[in-house]
Amino acid sequence: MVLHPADLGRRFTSKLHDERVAAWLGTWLGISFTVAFVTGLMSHFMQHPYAWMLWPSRPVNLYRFTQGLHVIGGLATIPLLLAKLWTVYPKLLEWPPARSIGHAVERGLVFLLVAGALFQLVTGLFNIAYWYPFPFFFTVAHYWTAYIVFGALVIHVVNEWAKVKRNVLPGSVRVPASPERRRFFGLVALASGTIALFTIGEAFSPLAPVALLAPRRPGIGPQHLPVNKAAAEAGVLDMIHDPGWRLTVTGRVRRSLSLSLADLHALTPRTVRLPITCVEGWSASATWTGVRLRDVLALAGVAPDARVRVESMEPYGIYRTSEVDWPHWHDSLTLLALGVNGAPLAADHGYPCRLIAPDRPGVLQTKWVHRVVVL
Amino acid sequence: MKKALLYGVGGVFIAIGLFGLLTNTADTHPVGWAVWFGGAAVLHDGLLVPVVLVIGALTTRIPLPYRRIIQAALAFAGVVTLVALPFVLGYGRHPANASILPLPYTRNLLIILTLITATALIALLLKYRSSR
Repeated sequence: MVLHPADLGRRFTSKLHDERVAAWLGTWLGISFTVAFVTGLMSHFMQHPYAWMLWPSRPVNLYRFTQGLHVIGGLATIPLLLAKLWTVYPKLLEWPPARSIGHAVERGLVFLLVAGALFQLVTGLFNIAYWYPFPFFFTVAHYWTAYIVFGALVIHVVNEWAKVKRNVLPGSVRVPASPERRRFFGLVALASGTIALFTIGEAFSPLAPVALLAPRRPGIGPQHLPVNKAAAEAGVLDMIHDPGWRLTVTGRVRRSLSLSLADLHALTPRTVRLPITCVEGWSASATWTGVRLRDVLALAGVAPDARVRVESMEPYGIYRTSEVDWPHWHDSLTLLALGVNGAPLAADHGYPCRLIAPDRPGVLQTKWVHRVVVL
Repeated sequence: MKKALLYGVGGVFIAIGLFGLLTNTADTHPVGWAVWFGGAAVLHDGLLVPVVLVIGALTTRIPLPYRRIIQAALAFAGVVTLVALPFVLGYGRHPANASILPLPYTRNLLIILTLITATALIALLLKYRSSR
């Protein structure tokens, strides 16, 4: 039997390949991808700020919330996207493939949206599983692709707006209740909710015991705290136990400092409760002890609006250094930590000294610190 | 007018994305990126959905009241398995860092699949009893 392509689209008999289903799932997807885009941009510009950007150091858990939403929300979007694409799959087989140039352009933009949405969810999932089978650098490709997806989404929403009005918005056309449709939405919600339930414990510790599918678990790691980069991988094992280690404070300071570990311990000790908040979405709170960064900077004498660069002993790596703007170093919670959870820092947590600050991505909580440069 | 403006906004975002991908080639590897970008759509449209459609077509042989339960359970189990797969495969494990992928993901996925199967079986049983 030869099936003519024009007949293919008519072979889909399920009532769920339907405009109303597509409009509702599409609305939720639009919201979900917009939230992911906004939270993703926040994360990007926290790590790569323009010179005029100043991020607040409070609320302490702001980044923990936005990045948890980005990652767990993204995971929960996977069933939603697959359901939506299944619903509209007959449209892929439209015949003829394009009725006009305008229609061809529209379909091309839908391709960008579909491919881009799948690309973002797949690469995001691979990234939190620390699996990199692709040739590109994840963060850079994920970041730029997000603009393509969002642009194609805006155009798609404009094109489909009439359907959203007809089916979703207040005043939409009333249609007979459909148990089939209701069950389908229920199934999508259940699948999304289940995935969220079994992963969210990596960011929201009370649910850690049920985080069966989370790539991290708060409490598991050296000193009961997960680690992103181990000391052995960073190539610092030979340096961190050097008795000649000094923390130097240089740059635009009234007097340069060179502090031994004993000197640091002689400063006023502080204890704070702060989370490590990873860009991969997991976060875990810990009790840190150390000295306030602002106390050390006050000893050196710096301008109140100075920007400082904290440098690690790591020999290479894009996160070897991080910059701290004044809202963060003024914050009384920002420490040069020497200990965590009641003991000196483990090698993997940045021994002898690391930065820990509120509302800040984990990759910027520089470990194995040996130098602070005032810019 | 408003429509044209929004098309413009969307077009600018797409242009920014393409510009970024094509000017940061050391990190983005545009050819490799294009393979994964297009490949995601091709594998989804050409493999994943057809497999789902074939399984869906096979389930139409099951009597209607039971069919919906089985279809729902299969779709549910399928999507959870897809999401769990990178963790189950565990290629991202680091020998020097045991806090990455620390859980027994195969066992955990089996627990969840067992829960889904058990729920479906109970639903089937209730359906069977109510139909008698």
